[in-house]
Amino acid sequence: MLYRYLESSAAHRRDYIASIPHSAALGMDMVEVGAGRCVLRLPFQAPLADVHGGLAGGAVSALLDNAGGVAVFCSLARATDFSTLSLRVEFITAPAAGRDVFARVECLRLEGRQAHIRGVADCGDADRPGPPFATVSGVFFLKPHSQPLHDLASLGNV
Amino acid sequence: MSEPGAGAAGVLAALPYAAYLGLEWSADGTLHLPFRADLVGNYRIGALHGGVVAAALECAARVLLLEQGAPAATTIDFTIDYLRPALSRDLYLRATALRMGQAVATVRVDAWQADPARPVAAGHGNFQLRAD
Repeated sequence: MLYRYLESSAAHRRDYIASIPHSAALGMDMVEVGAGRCVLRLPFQAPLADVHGGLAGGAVSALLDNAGGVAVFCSLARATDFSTLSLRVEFITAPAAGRDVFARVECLRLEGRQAHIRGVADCGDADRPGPPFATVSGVFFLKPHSQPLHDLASLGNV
Repeated sequence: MSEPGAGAAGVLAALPYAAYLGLEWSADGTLHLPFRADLVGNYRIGALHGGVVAAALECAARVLLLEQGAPAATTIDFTIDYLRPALSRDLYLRATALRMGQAVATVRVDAWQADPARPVAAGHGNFQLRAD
């Protein structure tokens, strides 16, 4: 399972995010991974704040999309390219003012070319989730015959 | 609104994340996201980050609501269908209010790059118009 590659080293987790230009630009941080799941953090930063003082909804959507992708990666047995087919975010309330946002997303099942994800966003701590302020569900579509973005052969051995 | 263009520019300034992404108002009533290297999600095929597309769609809906006099609108839900790869080039968006209710507005957003007839993504969202 590919998740062991990310689980085994903080440098591998950093390299994964660094290979996605927009995620690196937003300062996303891969806090934790497991089999088919991950926790990503988006640090609070004023340029990404909404009128409510918390991180903007769009930035949260970007984090949840990315966390969905990492959860799918963490379900794969071998490196395979994939992309988001659909993503739905529901906001219960706005993220808390001035707080980091954590995305906790799991890949429910990977079957054929479809991978279905579910998750939440909260303003808790890395290891202590707060009450969710948003939920996400989505479908990623696998492209088994294309060159994978995160090819372990180019990242190093597992 | 007498000058929708000027209004939209002010609206964009009121949405810091829209400013961060670099969203601009076009004279024909569309929003324009100029390509930038730090908006990429997949460098191998040069595709925009799915989150950038999601955020641009949602911002376009929020801009429409602000223009329609609903400055306190908050997103209840937003759904994105990714129709084609969004490549390393400018993105254009147009939002349409399907319904402006008393409490809730429903907005659709279309996004395209080279050809409006070949959309790269479609968004659909519900927005709460007032806090109470």
